[in-house]
Amino acid sequence: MTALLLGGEMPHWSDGEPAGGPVLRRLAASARGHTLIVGPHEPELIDAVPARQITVLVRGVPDAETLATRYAGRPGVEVCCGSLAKLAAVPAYDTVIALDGLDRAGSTETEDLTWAAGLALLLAVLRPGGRLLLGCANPAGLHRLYAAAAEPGDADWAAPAGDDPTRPVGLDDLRERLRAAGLTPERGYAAHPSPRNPAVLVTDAALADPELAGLLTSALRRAGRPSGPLLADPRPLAPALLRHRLASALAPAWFVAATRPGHPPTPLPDVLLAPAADNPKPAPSATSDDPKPTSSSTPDNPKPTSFATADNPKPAPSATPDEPGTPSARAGHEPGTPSALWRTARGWLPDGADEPLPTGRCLHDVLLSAARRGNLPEMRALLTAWQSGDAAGVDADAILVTGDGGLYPLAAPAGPDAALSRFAGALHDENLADRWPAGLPAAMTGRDPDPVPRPAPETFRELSAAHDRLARELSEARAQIEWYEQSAATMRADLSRAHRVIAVLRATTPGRAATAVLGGVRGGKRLARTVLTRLRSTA
Amino acid sequence: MHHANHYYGHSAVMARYCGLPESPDPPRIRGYLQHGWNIGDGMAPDHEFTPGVPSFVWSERTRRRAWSMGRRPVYVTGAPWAYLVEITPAPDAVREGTIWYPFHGWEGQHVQGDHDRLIAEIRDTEPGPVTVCLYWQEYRTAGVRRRYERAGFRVICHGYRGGWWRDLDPGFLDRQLAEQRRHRRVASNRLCSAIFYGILAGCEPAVYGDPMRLRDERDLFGGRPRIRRQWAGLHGAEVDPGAARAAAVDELGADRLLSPAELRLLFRWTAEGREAAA
Repeated sequence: MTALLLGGEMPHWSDGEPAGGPVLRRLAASARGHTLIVGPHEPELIDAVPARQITVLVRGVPDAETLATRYAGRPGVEVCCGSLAKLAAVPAYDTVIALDGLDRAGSTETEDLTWAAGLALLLAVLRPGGRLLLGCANPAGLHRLYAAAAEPGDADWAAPAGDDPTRPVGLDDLRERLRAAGLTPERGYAAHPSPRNPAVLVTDAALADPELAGLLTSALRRAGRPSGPLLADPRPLAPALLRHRLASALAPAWFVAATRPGHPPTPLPDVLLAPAADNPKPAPSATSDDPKPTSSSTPDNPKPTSFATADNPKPAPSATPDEPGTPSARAGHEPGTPSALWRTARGWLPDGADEPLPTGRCLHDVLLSAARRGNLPEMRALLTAWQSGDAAGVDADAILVTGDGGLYPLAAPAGPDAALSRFAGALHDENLADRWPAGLPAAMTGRDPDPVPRPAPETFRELSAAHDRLARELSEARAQIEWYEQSAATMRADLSRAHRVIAVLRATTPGRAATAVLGGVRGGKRLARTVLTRLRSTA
Repeated sequence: MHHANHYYGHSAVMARYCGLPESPDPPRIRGYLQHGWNIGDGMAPDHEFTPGVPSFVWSERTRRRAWSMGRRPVYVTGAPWAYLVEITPAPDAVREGTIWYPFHGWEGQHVQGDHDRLIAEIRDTEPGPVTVCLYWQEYRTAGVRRRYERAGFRVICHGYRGGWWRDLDPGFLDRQLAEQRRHRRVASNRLCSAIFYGILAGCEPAVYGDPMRLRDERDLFGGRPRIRRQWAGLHGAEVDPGAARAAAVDELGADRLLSPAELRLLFRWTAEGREAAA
């Protein structure tokens, strides 16, 4: 198969970081009928589209050639190359997928495409009764607010997205634009932490429900960081974002599914979370008193939350989501499948589960709150309850503390020491290390502290905090050295004074007598040693 | 600083526009000035780049393309031709006939194609007298030149473009503009700089006939097929003049010309810049 060149194609260009990942694949899998995929999307996402007839449009010729080669043996897949503006405005598609958004649908060869013009082009090819799956990066998202300075790249030949006055300013605005164009928004999601490969998609309804706050805090904490160099790690802000209703306004991207009248309902969940695919499997012997950590996980290398464990909230510490018989396997989850959550009259129901999720707070935040208040008895009680129970190996940010004080794990265990050590690392990251030294949480649970070396911080704020801490420690070390030097000087002065006293005493009559006696004893010892040596040599 | 900046007297035209005193030595431009229309980054394929040295390209589209290829810094200045058209008053003379530019190779390149068939096509198409403008290589090749002369065409050459600071011709573009303004039409067998120049000089364009090819020609950046598709409206014996003018203004950056002061700054033709260069 060769790619069809529509015009505006870029012979030398290839787009990096295509939209993809398990949660976007889950959205793409809801496509039906003749499907158009506009912009760079990872091939696995295209593979997930169940439609027989698929048209893919990319702007870079090398990308189009790669796709054409990949789908050469799959009849029904057509690859086009060029600018979206060159696509024939004929309503030919039942589903239009633009999860990469509209920012990479234009090219160097055509005028900059405003967001509104791009949307109009997508809608022009959508059939009556068709459905649109659209992504929209947020220029004021956390990933941008926390982005470190970066030189403009080769892809930045056009004006930045934030300069486009036609761009929606929020999820509500995005839905309103679609309504104004005659579509019915089915679902609108805020996406974290990266706009092109988010690990968390959550609707406004889910964000607004206080019953879900604990789970969403856990999800945002475990979703990882946005890609690229950052000024700060946004994850400690997760609970505040939710409490202040900012998780949608500051989301790195929004995604919507919207339909033209006549489209059959296609239910989508309220929450989609990337699977815990990178969860390391604990060693078979991993128990609460296993001395060796079994996880390489660190706060900078987090694991996405995976739940769907409602029918058994307390898995055995050695269980993993992929093993037969574990709650998630029983809930019908395939490895690599994102977790989904639906709002029902009974509560929030995970995909395939019979019982809704319990409500509760994220243990990690409950512990941090106690730590900030310096409440040692509460910390000890919480840590002891966690580390003496079945959830000992589960990370604190993957556990809900229910109303009755029970612990409900949302992820598979990583190993007790690893989980505790990760929490101790979080105390350090949250600038609580002065009050809660690294080994203290372990000591509070009756274990020997096993300090894990801290990785070098990768974000500016954490780097600055590390710098300030090291500067303080250096200053303290210097003060201590000075103190020791003063102490040594005092002791040296005392010693010198003692020597002088001894010299004076030696000069007195009793002193001289004592010295003579001592001298005689020394002389006798020398004489005896000489005689003995001679006797031995003649013998 | 690059010898190609002085091709076709480009640097001389820019110096005149900027009000620099006339000089037998071409003024040194601190950067690379695009010297011909192309569909890549604006520079010749064999152009060597030194990081940090700016490129001065003709159009916004070329700037976007060059940027995407990592060329930075890159500035849109517009084509020297557009400045020349701006500063040269148009004569009142009546335009007549067609100035026809057969596709040519550049130094060391050889065109392969059937000139007789092309001549026949020109005769069949052009309504009035025809002036054929040959590149200096073909003009000096008696066989090629005589073929066009025998066909009854007036055969001219705008001159030698110069190279490596030798045999420079500051009047090259002036002669080309004067010739084009005498003609009603401008035509070629390939869309090229001369066609865009002619459109800006007020000619009706046409692109038709065997496009011929260079020996070992490589289609860079999509090559001829892409040019045919992307500028399809400029191909044919009759072309919409309004669309053609818009395309020429775009490609030559005629709507983005800089002021003399701005150009002097970018080219480092300020007193400070000249001192720094010295």
